[in-house]
Amino acid sequence: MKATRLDELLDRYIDERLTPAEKSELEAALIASARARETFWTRMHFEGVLEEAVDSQRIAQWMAAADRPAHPAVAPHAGEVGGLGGLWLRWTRLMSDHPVLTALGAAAVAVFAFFATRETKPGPVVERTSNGVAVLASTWNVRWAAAQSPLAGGAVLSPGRIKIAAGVLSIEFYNGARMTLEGPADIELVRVDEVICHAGKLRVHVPHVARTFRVLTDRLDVLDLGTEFGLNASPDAPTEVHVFDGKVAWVERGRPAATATQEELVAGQAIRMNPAGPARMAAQPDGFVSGGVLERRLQEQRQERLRAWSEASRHIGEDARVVLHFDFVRDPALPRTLRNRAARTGPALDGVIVGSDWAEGRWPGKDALEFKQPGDRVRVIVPGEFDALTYVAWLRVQAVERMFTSIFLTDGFEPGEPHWQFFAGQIRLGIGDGAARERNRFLSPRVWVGPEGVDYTTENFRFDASLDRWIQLAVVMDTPRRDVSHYVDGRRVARDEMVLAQPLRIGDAELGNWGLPATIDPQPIRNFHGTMDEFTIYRTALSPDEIRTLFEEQRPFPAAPEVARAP
Amino acid sequence: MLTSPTTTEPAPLPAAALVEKLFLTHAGAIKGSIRALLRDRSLVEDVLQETFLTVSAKAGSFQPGTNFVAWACTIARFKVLETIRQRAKLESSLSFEVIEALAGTTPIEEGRETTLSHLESCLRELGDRARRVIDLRYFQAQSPEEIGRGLSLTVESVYVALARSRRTLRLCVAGKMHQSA
Repeated sequence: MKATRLDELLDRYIDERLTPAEKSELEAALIASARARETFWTRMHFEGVLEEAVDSQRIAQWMAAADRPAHPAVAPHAGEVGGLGGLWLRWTRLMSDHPVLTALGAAAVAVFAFFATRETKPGPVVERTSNGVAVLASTWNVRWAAAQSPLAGGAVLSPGRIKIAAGVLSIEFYNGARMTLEGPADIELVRVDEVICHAGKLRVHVPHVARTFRVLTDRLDVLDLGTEFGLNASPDAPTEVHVFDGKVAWVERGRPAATATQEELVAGQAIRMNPAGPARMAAQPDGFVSGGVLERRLQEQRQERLRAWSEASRHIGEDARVVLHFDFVRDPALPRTLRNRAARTGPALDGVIVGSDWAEGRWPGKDALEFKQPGDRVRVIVPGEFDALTYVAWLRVQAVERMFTSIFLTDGFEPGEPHWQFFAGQIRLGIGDGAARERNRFLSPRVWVGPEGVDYTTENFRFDASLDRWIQLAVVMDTPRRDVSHYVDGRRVARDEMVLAQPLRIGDAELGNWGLPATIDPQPIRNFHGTMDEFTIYRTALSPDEIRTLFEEQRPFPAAPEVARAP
Repeated sequence: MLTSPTTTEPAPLPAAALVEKLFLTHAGAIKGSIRALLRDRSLVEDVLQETFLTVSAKAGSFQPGTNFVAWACTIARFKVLETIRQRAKLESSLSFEVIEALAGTTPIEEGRETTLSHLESCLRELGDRARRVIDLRYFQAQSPEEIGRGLSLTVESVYVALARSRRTLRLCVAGKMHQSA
C-alpha cells in the first residue's frame, strides 16, 4: 500500500470514520506489512502525546473548578468536561486507595500553558504559597546533625526544627530580628517572632522594626523588647540569659502561674538559672558570636578561599590536558572578552560575550557572568577532534524557565558534537551520532527537587530559591571506554554506556545559550538563567578522584571540619 | 533543593511500590497504547484503571530491570481485547488478529517528554487556521460538525483541515527532534 493511502486510512481511523471496506483495507495492510505497523505506532504515539497534553490541561481546569459550580469560563464545553469530571472522580477514588498514584493527579496537572492561557475570561488565580518565617542568611563551618538535611544559605525556613552539630549560622526572621546560633544546637522555629531553644547558644538582635522576639527554653520564657541579648541553653549546665543592649522580660517556666512573676533584665545584666534558683551576674558579650563577628569570620574565610582558588586556577591553566579554561576574571582592557587561560591554546580560544553582564562570583572579588535574557551568551570556537572530553562548570541557577536550559552546546548537532544542558530537572548530555536520535543521550538522575512538589517537567515552574547556590557540574565523555558520567559537586551521580563511531568535536559553540539562527525563523529559547564563574574543558577523561579534588579546591566554602564531640 | 548523591540512588523499592511508581511515570505511554487500539474515548479510562489494578495485583511477577512499559502494555492489550469481546457492538475497533499483529511491533515509548515540549513550540508556529482547528477539535473537544458550523465549513473540509494540521504538526515535531540533542 502506498504511504499516502495508509496515512489517509490512519487519519480516518483516528477520526473514527472508517467505512467497513476501509477498515478491512487498513487491517489487511497492517497484517501484511511490518512497515505499516510501524507507521501505525508512530502515528498513534503522536496522537497519544497530543491527547496527553489536552488531558493535562483539562484535568488542570477541572481541578481548578472542582470546588465551584461549573462555569463556562472554566469549562467551555460543559457536557464534555462534566463527563470527564465523572471519569476523573472515579479515577481519583480508585487512586485514593493507592497513595503513590495520587501523585498522578499532581503529575497530570502539567499545565500545557499554550492553550490554557488563551482563555479570554480569566480563570481563578491560584498563587503559590509559602509558610516561611525566616531566611538562612549565612553558615560558617556548619556541620549538620545527622537527622538534619543540610540547608543552603538563602534557604527559606518554615516552622520546624534545626539541628547543627558544630559551626555557626545566622538566621534573619521575616519580622527583622536576626539570630546567630552556635552549634551544637537544636532549635525550633515557631513563628516570625518566636523560637524554642532546646539546646545551643544564640544571640538575637531585635531592631525596632521587629518590635518583639520571644525565645522559649525548658526553664525560661524570654521576651525581648527591642534589644540585643544572648541565651545559652545546654543540657549539662544552667541556662543563662545575657542582655547586651536594651531590655528583656523573662518568666521562669514550669512554676505554678501564681508564683511566676515577670522580671526584667537591662543592658549589662545576666541571669543563670541555677537549680536553687536564678542568680544575677554581669553580662558577657564576648561569650556569644555576634552578627558582626560572624560576618568578619566569613569574610576571612572567603578571602582565604579566593586566594586558594586563584592558586589552583593557575595550575589548571598550565595543565597540558586543558583545552579551554575560562576563569571568568575580567580583563579590564577587553571587557567583552572572556579570556581563555589555558596556556596551550591561548587567546585563539577567547570567548566573546554577547549580552551578559559582569556579576559577582563564588566570593566577593571573584568575577562572574550573569545570563538572563534570551540573547545572553558567550561564543567560542574550539577546533580539533577528541577521543575524550571533560567539561567542568561552576554555576548558580537562578531560575528554570523552560524544559531545556543550555549549559554548553555546539551550534549544530552533527556526529560527535555534544550538547550539555538541563532538561526537565535533569542534566542531559546528548552527542550527535547522525542516526538513532535517542541512543547517545545521557541523563543524570533528577537533581532539582523543588519544594511543595514542584514538577520541573512543566512550565508552571518559575523560580525556586533553593536552587540558588553555587554548584559544580561536570560531565566526562570517554569514547575508548564508551563511558559517559555526570557529576554534581564532585560526586558521580550517573554513568552510562555510549555508542559512538566517531571522535568528539566542538567547533562553534556557546556557553549559556544555543546556536546562531540560520535564518530569520524563530529559534527555540534555551538560555541559561543564572551566573557562571568558571568553565574548563579537558581533552582527557578525568577520573572521579580528579573531579573530586577539583571540587574541593574550588568549592565556595570549605567542608565543615570534623570536630571532636564535646565531652 | 539539590539532592545529595546518596538520595538520588534510593534503596530498592518493594515490588508493589515499584510498579505503582513505574505506572505513574509511564501512565501517558500506557494510556496512549490503549487509545491506539480503542478509539472509543469513553472506554479508555476504564481500561487504564483495569490495567492498573491488574498491574498492581501482579506486581510480584514484574522483573525489575526489564521493560516495564512493554509489560504493562501487554496487560493493557489483554484488557482491550477483553473489552472488545464484552461489547460485541464495537464495530469500529480493530480485529483481534490485527491487534495481535500490532503487538509484535513495539510501540514507541521513548521521547514522550521531548515530543511534548516540541509539540508546544510547533503549536505556536502553526498557521492561525490550522491552530484553530486543532484547538477546537482536541482542546475544546468539539465534533467536526460543530467545528464546521462555527467556521462555516463543510464537515468534509473540517476533516481535511484536521488531517493537514496534524501532518504539519508531525513534520514540525520530527524536524525539531532531528535538530535537538
